[in-house]
Amino acid sequence: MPLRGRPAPAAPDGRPGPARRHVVFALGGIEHAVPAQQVRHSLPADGEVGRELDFLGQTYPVVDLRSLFRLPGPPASTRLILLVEGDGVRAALVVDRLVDLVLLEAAAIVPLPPVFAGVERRWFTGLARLGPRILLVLRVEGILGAQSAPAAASALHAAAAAG
Amino acid sequence: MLRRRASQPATTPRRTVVVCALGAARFAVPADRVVELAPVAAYTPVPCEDPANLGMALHRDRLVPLVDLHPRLGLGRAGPAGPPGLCLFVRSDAGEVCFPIDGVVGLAPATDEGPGLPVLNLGAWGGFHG
Repeated sequence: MPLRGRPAPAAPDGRPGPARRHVVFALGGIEHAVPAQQVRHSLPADGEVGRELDFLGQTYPVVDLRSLFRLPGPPASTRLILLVEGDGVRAALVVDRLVDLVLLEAAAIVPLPPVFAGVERRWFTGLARLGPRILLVLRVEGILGAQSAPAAASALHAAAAAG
Repeated sequence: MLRRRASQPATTPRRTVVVCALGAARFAVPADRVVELAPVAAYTPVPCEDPANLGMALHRDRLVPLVDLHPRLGLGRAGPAGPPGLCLFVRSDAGEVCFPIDGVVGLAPATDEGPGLPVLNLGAWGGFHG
């Protein structure tokens, strides 16, 4: 799908802010955005994806975001790998598909509300409005440092479900 | 200087609560914290640690967290199955939140002992008391 560069609506106060281009991808029907400057490449995820991926002499640990976020339902029939790099740490993010390329004003990204007080504060910079759409803006550095989070979060979910 | 006469009983401010239904459970919400009751057609799920936090609803141009009260009422977890439907929007100390309910049963006066129902704790936003 061709990506279109188009601006997001201005910040609520109307002031122009520094805009950054973001890659929008879908995961479990939810749209996520990641700063385009942190995306190095995209590759089709054919078949089973290993634990690491070598690309142009660099090693990228694979992070299946569907698994990390514990999203319900089966994975998409065709998936995509985004090679990202933030703070000198690399990862290969497995996502469902690319959706868009947008400009987001810094002021248009609002932090998660205080009720979201868990590991999600590391995963996401905040939320961005794009017309009627809500984008979850990924914090790449938080994702890369969150490899041990799923077990703890799953335990919490299991306890809650049981009880 | 004005002094209350010893024989005059102290007056307790009367607060009103909104009694809500969720499944078989009934609970109360301080009426002065209620923003509105409105249907919500859709929401964006947010992956998170607390299973009660379903995601974000876009309502009247505002982004409002959508919270499932089932776990806090000990009803297990209903999960984000389909559109939230009727939601109560309230002002908590952590900002505005909304939660799906089955309906409003009525209004009742709240006393210091409470209306006999669990009262939604909107201060710490973490559960019920009463």
